[in-house]
Amino acid sequence: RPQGRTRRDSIQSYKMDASPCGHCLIINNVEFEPESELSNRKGSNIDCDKLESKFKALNFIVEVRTNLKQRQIKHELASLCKKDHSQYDCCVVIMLSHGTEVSHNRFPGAVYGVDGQHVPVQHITNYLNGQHCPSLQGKPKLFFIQACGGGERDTGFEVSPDEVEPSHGGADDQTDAIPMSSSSDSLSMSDEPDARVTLPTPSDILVSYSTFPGYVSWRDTQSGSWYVETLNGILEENAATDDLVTMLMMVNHEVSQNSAKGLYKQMPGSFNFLRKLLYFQTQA
Amino acid sequence: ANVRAQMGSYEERLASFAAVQHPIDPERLARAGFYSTGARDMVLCFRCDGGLKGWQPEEDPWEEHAKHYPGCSFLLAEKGQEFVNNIQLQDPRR
Ligand SMILES: [Zn+2]
Repeated sequence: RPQGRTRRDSIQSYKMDASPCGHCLIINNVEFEPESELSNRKGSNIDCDKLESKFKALNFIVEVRTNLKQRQIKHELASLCKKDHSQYDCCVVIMLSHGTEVSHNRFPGAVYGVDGQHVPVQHITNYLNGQHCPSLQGKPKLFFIQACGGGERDTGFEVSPDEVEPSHGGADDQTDAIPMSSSSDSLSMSDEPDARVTLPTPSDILVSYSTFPGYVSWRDTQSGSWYVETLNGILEENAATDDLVTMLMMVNHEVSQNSAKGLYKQMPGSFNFLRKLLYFQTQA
Repeated sequence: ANVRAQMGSYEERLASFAAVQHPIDPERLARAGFYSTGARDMVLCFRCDGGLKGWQPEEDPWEEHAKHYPGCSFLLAEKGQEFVNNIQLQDPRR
């Protein structure tokens, strides 16, 4: 595949040749309110800068929002959803914050606002689904989530683990609280319902988590998080030749290999409901 | 109280297939968290409530669970994140 080649729509891959390619919203939560009992996320600005330049280089219109409360996160997502995306081919949302466990059978986990109130990942994805955002129907919607655990202790070590209390047994009960109706799930109207499954299928959505919700995610206060550093490096090296899913396999492998050398393991998670291959635009 | 609560046990799930002709071995389905709804080949997961029907004989219950309901906490606890990732990051045209 030659570099910089335009990507027309085909059975195999998403059309990705609009210029600009689409919007990219980065929510960077660094400083948390004292009442939230969440520590400040040193190093997150490094992550944010890296991803801002990376997605600009991939021809996205990048907007960064810093230190948003839950209400403001929802407001930003609602604004993004109300935009007219008909001239674009893709949409990207990046969340850099603390996270916590919330059960869901497709998109578990939640991300904190700086006020300590969280937004479930499932709701984040719902803003851009085919029902709520018709101009993104059939187009890939990508979510990258660097979510550190909720109970992070900033001990001043060079690398501090962002820990979260693992839930013991409570997960079963939480499942019942998740709405299962078609109106609340990530149903895309552009696609045929999946005859195999009894719940509406999200489509054209990919969520890449720095770590499975509820597990430790590492962030270096000097160089940023392992996940973002690795993601950025893999995109830099391979976006011209490889599709997104292949690159995420590389990211997962590298982060888990890296973390295996230390005390704690970290395995990024990918929840992938894309229907085609996705090749980013890269400059020739 | 409800059916799903009872179906936390493997034996209960297996027993739910007693009167059902299923293209997949009920033991494999029950191990993967599924119980029979009694309606044709439709099964539900006791934990995530995710349902699957239209089974092909060659399909693997754990793989189908991971493909369609990757966030299920039973799936993640039993099979691990790496298994789920590998299924999720297969070729999207699969
Ligand atoms: Zn399940």
